[in-house]
Amino acid sequence: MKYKYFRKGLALPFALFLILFVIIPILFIIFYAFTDNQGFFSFDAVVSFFTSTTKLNVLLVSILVGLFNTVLCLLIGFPLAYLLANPKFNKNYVLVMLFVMPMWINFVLRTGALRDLLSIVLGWFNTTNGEHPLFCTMVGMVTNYLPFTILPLYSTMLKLDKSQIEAAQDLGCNPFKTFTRNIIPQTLPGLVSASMMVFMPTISSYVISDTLSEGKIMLFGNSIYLSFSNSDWNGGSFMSLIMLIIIFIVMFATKKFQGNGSERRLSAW
Amino acid sequence: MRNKNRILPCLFSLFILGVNLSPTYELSNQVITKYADDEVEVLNVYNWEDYIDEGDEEEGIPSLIEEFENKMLEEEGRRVSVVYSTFDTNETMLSELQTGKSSYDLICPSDYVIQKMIAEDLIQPYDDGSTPNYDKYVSPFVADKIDNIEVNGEKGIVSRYARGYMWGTLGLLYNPTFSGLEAKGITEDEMQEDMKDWLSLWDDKYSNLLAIKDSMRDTYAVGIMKTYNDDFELDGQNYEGFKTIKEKYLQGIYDEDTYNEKVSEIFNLNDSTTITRVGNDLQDLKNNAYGFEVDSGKTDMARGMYFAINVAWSGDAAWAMDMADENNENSTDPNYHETILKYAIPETGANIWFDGWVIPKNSQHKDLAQKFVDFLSTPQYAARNMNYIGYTPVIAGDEILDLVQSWYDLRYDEDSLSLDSSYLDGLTLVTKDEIDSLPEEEKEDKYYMKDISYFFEGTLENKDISDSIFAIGASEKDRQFDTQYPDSSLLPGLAVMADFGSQNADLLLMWENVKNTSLPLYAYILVLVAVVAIIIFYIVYKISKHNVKERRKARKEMRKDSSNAKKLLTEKL
Repeated sequence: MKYKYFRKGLALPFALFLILFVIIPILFIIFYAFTDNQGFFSFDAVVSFFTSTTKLNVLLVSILVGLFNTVLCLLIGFPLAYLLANPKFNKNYVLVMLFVMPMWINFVLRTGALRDLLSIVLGWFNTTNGEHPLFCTMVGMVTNYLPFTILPLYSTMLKLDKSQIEAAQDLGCNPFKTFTRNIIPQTLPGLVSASMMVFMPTISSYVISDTLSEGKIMLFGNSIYLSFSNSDWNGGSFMSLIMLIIIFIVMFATKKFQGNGSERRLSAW
Repeated sequence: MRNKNRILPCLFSLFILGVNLSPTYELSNQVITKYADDEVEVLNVYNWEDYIDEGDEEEGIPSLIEEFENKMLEEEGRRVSVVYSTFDTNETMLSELQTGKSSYDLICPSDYVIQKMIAEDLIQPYDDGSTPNYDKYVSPFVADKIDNIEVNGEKGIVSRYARGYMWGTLGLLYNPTFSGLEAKGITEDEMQEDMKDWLSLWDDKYSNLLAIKDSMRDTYAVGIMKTYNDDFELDGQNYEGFKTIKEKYLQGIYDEDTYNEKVSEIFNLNDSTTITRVGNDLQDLKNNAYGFEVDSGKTDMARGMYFAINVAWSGDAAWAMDMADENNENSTDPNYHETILKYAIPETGANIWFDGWVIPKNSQHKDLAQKFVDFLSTPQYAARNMNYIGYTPVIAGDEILDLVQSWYDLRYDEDSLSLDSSYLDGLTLVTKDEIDSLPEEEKEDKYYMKDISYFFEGTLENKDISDSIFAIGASEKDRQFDTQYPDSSLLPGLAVMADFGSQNADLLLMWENVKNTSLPLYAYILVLVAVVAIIIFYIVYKISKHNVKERRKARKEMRKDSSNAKKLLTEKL
């Protein structure tokens, strides 16, 4: 009995941390989202959000950019992770480190450097960053979020059951069918958590889109920032709440693809 | 300082957090340990980042804050400790003050925020005669501008509540040496001429060559200069546009004051119709522009990269020019492309701004706050600030003129220095004799005369007002000096932009709309189709699943039935 209590006690610091830095801030957001600037209960922020085509459009654009980024990251990250998980190509984990290493460099510096690089590359084609805001933003997004896709995929790929694949091939599956019927279902938890790691942060990110699109593409994060910096706390809070709701929806929708506990723990490194 | 949202520097400063925060902390800690008893008077000062001379520890030059503390101790025997903190946008500072949680004695907001603070009754007026140095040395030109700001329809109120600190203009920083200009066939002279007009920003010629501010108020100021450039009609009333007013002023129909009044009036229009019109023009501007920037623009300009034109505050423009010059000097690469930046205030008018010191209502040390402001308004210390920050103080006076002369005047003579000239260390001077010995024709090619007595009028003691007529090198036209002190012919066209008041929400909507990325129509249709397809797919999936279940059920029942029937049959048999 005592032992059990002791084990529970170990969770106390974490619970305290959660309450202080997660629950209380969310309560603050909810409070601001449903009050006016005098602090009285009101639906002003809600109404002004849903009646503003601009804000809805920003949300739509962000979701599209997020989806686009997720698809691109998965397309590039999936084969890469497959190769990395193959011991023939990747001895001693070194290649994985190479992909993770850029994340150790300050992200603003990385983005700034990418901006310079892009302007040189685009210069060869006689064009500039400012003329291709979407292209530049997408390049920035993919380079920034690729490691976040590779790692969860890599960890599920490591546990890929090779004998199943062989069995599928032996029983007459062509390579495409082996892939869709066998590899994808086996790596589904990794795919889902990789998408989650990319999709939500993309929508709320604003430094990448601000720097690389030269301020021409406004994502939801930029919009929230704009509200707060113009002391529209209530509107900004409501938009943050929308973000939270989207996170919950996405989490709920992908719950059944998340795999069992051990896989989830591995993929959400 | 007009840096409204310093996203990048903020993040950068996280990187070098230690460096950024240490002056503040060290200062306050040092002082607190210096007087470890109860008699210390604490003055809480809230200022922009990098907006005061912080001294040089290595060379043992004390910061202005330390100088003030020492001065108070020496002259009045008061133990003063200044707790100096910084903010990065007017808005964050204002919301801190509005919630009433702050306890600052002295804050340095921008003009329109001061106006708002007075209207919201957040600050208190200065005592009469409490800042003798300021009263004596403030430039009559700036004092007049401050006087003319209206609060609740009355003039002269702001000068009771605020003391100016730094001032400047919003104009165009441009790079005639930009590498992309040649391809477009734009020559240096042509560009210099074009930059005298705001409309050039909308010109196809400069498409993708210009960056505008990612800041609502400043970009609105640019927009309205285009929207109301020509005569216009508003609410059934006809108005003269900026161009007509300027012409009438040049013809002598309007005198300076009328001209300035008219410019200010149109410049400060912010009714819904005007906001919509400006919004449309800004949409066009966005399409013509390379992009938006807030703080990165000055660095990009100094490096000669990305764009050739940048809407800039004069202080940043001067900083970028210095930076570019330094890069030119330090470069060892033989293929290095020199970058020479210039600054122009378009002729139809522009925004003039200032930051000033105000005392919040709940200040506990009003007397000390006033003393601090007066201390900073001493020309000697204002000159140190100017040398350190690069912005132009509102203070005139001998020492400031000295400093400016030493920087820019070709005829500068070392003997004419006055008072304490320690702040001039390390500057190379050209003597009067050197330029006087030039032959007459060469002189004309080499320099032009510029009179900035409008700024120094009535503030000089040992120097003569004729000293404020400068001989400037011809290559220095539209460079640092012109940036810091605009030509007197442009002055009447400079207008202060008032607080938008209740129109702020409308303006924010317009701004969001400008910043918004609209997708092509087919994208919306595609999204709609995709969403509908997903829903239909889901329904079909559910129905088919349901059908499978039903069929299974039916089959089971059928099997049951058939077995029952069998049973019945066997029983009967």
